[in-house]
Amino acid sequence: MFFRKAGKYLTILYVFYFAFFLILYFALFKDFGYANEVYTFKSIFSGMNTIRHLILPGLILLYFVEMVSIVRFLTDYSGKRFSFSFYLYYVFSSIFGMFFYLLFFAIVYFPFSKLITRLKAVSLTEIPVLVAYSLMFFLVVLLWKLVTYWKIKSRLNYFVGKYPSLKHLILPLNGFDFKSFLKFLLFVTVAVGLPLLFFIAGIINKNHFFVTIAVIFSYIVFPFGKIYVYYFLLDKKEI
Amino acid sequence: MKKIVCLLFLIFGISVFSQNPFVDSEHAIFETPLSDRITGYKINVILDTVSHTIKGKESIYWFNNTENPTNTVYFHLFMNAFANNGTKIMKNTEKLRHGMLGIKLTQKTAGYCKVKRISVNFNDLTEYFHVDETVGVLHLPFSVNPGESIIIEVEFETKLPRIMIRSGYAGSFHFVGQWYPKLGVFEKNGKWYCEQYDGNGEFYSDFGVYRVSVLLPSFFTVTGTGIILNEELEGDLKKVNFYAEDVHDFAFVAWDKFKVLSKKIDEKTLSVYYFEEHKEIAERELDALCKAFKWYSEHIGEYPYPDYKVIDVPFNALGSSGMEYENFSTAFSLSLFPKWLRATESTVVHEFGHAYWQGMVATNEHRQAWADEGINSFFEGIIMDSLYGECSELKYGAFCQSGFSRFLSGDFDVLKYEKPDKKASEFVSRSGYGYAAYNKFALTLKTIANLEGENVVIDAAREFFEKFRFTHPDGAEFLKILNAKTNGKYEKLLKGVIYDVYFPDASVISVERKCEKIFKGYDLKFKFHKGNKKEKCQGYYYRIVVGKRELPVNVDVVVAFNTGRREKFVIPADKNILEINIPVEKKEFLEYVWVDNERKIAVDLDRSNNLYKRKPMIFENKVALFLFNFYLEILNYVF
Repeated sequence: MFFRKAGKYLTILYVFYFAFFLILYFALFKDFGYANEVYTFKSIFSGMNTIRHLILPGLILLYFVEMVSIVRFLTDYSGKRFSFSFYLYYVFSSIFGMFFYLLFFAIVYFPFSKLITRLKAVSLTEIPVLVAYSLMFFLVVLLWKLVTYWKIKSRLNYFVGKYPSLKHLILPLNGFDFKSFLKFLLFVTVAVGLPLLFFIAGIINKNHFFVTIAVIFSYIVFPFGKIYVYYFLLDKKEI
Repeated sequence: MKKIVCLLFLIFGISVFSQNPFVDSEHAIFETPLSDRITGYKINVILDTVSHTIKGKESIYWFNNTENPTNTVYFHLFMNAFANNGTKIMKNTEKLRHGMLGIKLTQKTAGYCKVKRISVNFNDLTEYFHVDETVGVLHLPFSVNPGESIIIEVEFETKLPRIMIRSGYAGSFHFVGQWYPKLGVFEKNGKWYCEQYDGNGEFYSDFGVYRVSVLLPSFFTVTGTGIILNEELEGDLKKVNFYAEDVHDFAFVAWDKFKVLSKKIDEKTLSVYYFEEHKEIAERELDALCKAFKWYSEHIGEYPYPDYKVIDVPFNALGSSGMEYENFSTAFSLSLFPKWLRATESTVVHEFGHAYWQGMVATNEHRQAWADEGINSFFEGIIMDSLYGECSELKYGAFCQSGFSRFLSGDFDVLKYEKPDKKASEFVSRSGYGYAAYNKFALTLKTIANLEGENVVIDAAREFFEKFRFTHPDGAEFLKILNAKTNGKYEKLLKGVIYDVYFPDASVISVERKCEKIFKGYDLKFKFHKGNKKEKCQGYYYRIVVGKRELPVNVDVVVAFNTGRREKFVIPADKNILEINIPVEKKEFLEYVWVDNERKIAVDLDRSNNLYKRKPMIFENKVALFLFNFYLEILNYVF
């Protein structure tokens, strides 16, 4: 069912990713050029420096391609009539999501920054400070995922729910199902974490194979995950 | 008033001491003085470990050993650098203080050094003492003539700042460096050298003797410059009596959590002062200290003092880490530092090196920081590599860093504008100071060592040490010795690198595969040749242009082909550019052109253009492909 309905939109996303891959390939891979003499932490990122200016245009393009794919997929899937207001809602939900990201970040950051300053002043070793930083990072990531979960739920409610309402923009109103949140957490963590693990193992050992796997994984899973995560959190009984 | 002072002065006269009056012959460390000992300090202070203040008196002996008279005396009041947010050091460290350290400037965290009363030869001259930030000037109503000496009595109060950089307190840890009113240097040119303190180029003082008594809570462990003669209990307090000879500074550390790890080598005691949580790190530090000590004793000369201490500072006092003082230094260590990361060891090696370069061979660190930091950084790299092997600084996975890797990496562009030979305070940025004073000269010496053999530079350094220990030589003296040992081969390079903004760089400029066309047209006998329509080329060749700038040494070039052929060339010392034409077969292609493939020219400050190759940076590009996708994915979640 998923592939039957999402196939068209996945194709759009994959074509987009492939186009980007080609641009990056031609921007990066040359027949001849200057190379790093030694392998250092700094030298690993020299390739990234070449294409860093492409991130922002890539991000903007991806946002719109993703928006079209997701909105169209959800309306197709639920059999709802498509409306351009859906795009507007999508953009507003992004803006409200960002507001909540900042809010949650501030809620975590300010007490932690005070704690960290205090620990820096009194700790004899770096361990308490590192623990505090790790905890802060963990909480920020967790809350970030929570907001993302709410944001996706809000879009689902609006696009395919029985009673779509603008009030869904207020993210916490979209309800919180602990089990589905955990599943979402697991899905996102694996989808992003697994290639990241290969990548880290690859750069530590300068292992082409691991880094290649990370690249392939990212090109297969990231576009797929963008639509699948909506399908995954969709309450199929509602449709 | 002035008349009275002058009268008093005439009564008491200028004291002319045949020898330094603060020498304690009963506890003499050296049978014969190692230095001229033209200064002497007798300091009696109380360290209040709650308010972090030091109150007391000092008597300073100063002997005018120049041929010029003076009627002023200059003092360093280093701690005034921490008095407010307008001082240079506070401006320089603003990001560090507010960012990483998170220290706010308050009445408690600020520091100062206040002179309450000052007298010379028993005449109160407080009203003639003027303070300009970290420098105090005393105007004498009389001249101190060549060969004369004076005794200055100073009553002072120092408030230690919260440790941001170098000295201060952090909890009960007290690092007491640059803390007392200290004389500048009256130079042969008849002028005082006593610059404002901005955190760079700290040391330049005359050698002398120090008798220092510190009264502090009895449960504190104390160590510092020189030897501790005794500790006298006075109720809950104890008086620690230090004595040091032939040093140019005095600093001490006090903490109630110190433990000590020691080892004796050749009658010298080497110690690490550490705290319980850093026991393993302390063992590594002691091991590195012993190794560095032996290396210096064998290769450069004897360490004459009875002991040397490494202070392992706690995390909240990290701002005081990695700094040298007389007879001791502070380490840089974190408890989670793994064994494969030898930042701790390299800091110990570096700071111990300062016992020689600046400690004993006391070049003016403010005016010529390269002369001690550059030489010392070179030896740090050499010693680390000889003690710990190829990847002496770091070995993890595919990462390998030698003793010089740290000096080789950096954005050296600033060195196109900043030359090493200038006052520390004249550098526009701290990174400019660091690259110019540490990296540039260390890499120049490494280049000479690579081309001529390490022993040439080591021999030059040994000679420099033997000739100039316990004096204030100009850095040029070292260059003279090195030039003599290398027959002037590197004179131009050394001059340009130190006294000018030489930015040595060797590079592959261009590479082209060219076709040698089949002859077409009239030959010398005026016979016309039509050429060949099918085959336009009768052969192929590569035209390679390599070059170098501000680098008057021979530089190797290697060209490799897919057939396994390798050709070697040399860009001669007196040439800046070299054109290489290499004929090749039709199916023979270039693999790489590598200028200085053995990386002998360490002072080549831009290594990004040395290796030109086929299919470059495949790994880095794969990394970029992943990172691009990864960043998009992460950022996308935000929207």
